[in-house]
Amino acid sequence: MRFPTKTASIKEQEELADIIQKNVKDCYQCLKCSAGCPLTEHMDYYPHQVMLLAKMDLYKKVFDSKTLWVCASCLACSSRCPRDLEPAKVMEGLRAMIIRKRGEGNVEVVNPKGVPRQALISSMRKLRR
Amino acid sequence: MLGYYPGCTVRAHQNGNFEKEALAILKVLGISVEELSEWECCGAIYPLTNDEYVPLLSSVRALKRTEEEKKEGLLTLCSACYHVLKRVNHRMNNDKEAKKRVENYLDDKYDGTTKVLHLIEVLRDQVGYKEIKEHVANSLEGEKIATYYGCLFLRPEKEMELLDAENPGVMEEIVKALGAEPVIYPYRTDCCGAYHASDKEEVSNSASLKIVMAAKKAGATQLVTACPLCKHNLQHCQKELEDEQKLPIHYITAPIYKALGADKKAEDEQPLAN
Ligand code: SF4
Ligand code: SF4
Repeated sequence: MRFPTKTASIKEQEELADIIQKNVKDCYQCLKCSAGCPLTEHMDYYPHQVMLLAKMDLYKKVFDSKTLWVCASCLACSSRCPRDLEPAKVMEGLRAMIIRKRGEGNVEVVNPKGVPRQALISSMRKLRR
Repeated sequence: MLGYYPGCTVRAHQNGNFEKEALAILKVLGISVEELSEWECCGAIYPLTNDEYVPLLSSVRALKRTEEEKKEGLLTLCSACYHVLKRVNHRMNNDKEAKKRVENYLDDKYDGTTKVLHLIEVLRDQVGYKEIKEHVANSLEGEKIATYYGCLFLRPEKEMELLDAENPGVMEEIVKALGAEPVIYPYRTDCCGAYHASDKEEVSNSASLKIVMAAKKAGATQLVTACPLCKHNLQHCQKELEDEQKLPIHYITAPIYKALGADKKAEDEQPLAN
């Protein structure tokens, strides 16, 4: 992964910390989150890389990432993170930042027929304004 | 008497017989339950953000009602309801700010005494494997049953505190008590793709198919779960397979119901018309 040198302002850091009450800078990149994530094959950045991008204040990259919308909040990463950073929660915070201020969530419910309502309600609450 | 919280998905998808089977089993095993006089959807997911309180309200209402109706606990069948109600309960008892704000919204107090219970937990703790075994009328000998736990049932481990999230064994013990052989395979605690069923089907299909294939490879003749969404995903991902290649997906209640002969017993116990 290559990183541009330009970083985002402190505002995003504060906003994320406000929403999730965690400090992503505590991540020590052990990769345990990514190792157990069942959905990495659909992601552009692995969970630990999302953590690293946030840690480095590269929010533009994070906000453009597919990963935030692929994560299914299964909490495997959160249960296993030795720093108790709850990567699933970090993803939720980042999604919330996009949904609340930066336009819409980038998902559409394409297949409402025959899907249990649990899925419809969850995806609406998770991924859309 | 336990309060019973059906949840919207279990109620709406009666074709799986989850509710019918669960209630019949509990009756045979001597556990009395009564549906809460009023309940609404728990919200289907627990909000991971710390600054949103409205998604907690409907669950708190159910917890509060359980308290008011003096039930010994709140029983759920669906893993997702269980997850949400239990975490909201935990939050109400451990986060003063959340409690204050929720009570302000509701203009009501919640004492925090409700215990949230899952059907599996009741079978383990209030009935016991031995008792289940004694009630078996038709042993399932010869059946090889894979059990699938999924996410919401197990995690986060420190709040759910029901099972060992990395190597749970409750459903296997139940399967054994019924006379069947539990099949151990990898991925039984991995995510099935959850709500991506409604927006990114390729994600839920590939995650689910990996699980189904592993169970089949380990020799399973059927797979059981306690979550309506897992059941849907695990079934749906097989839609392109030939019929004989498909692994049947059931609720955990199906083999119990069959082994206990609960259908027959539920009928016998109907009071005679007079
Ligand atoms: S498991 Fe936790 S500490 Fe390890 S890389 Fe992931 S977020 Fe960082
Ligand atoms: S919560 Fe998201 S990032 Fe974490 S393991 Fe599950 S799918 Fe992967």
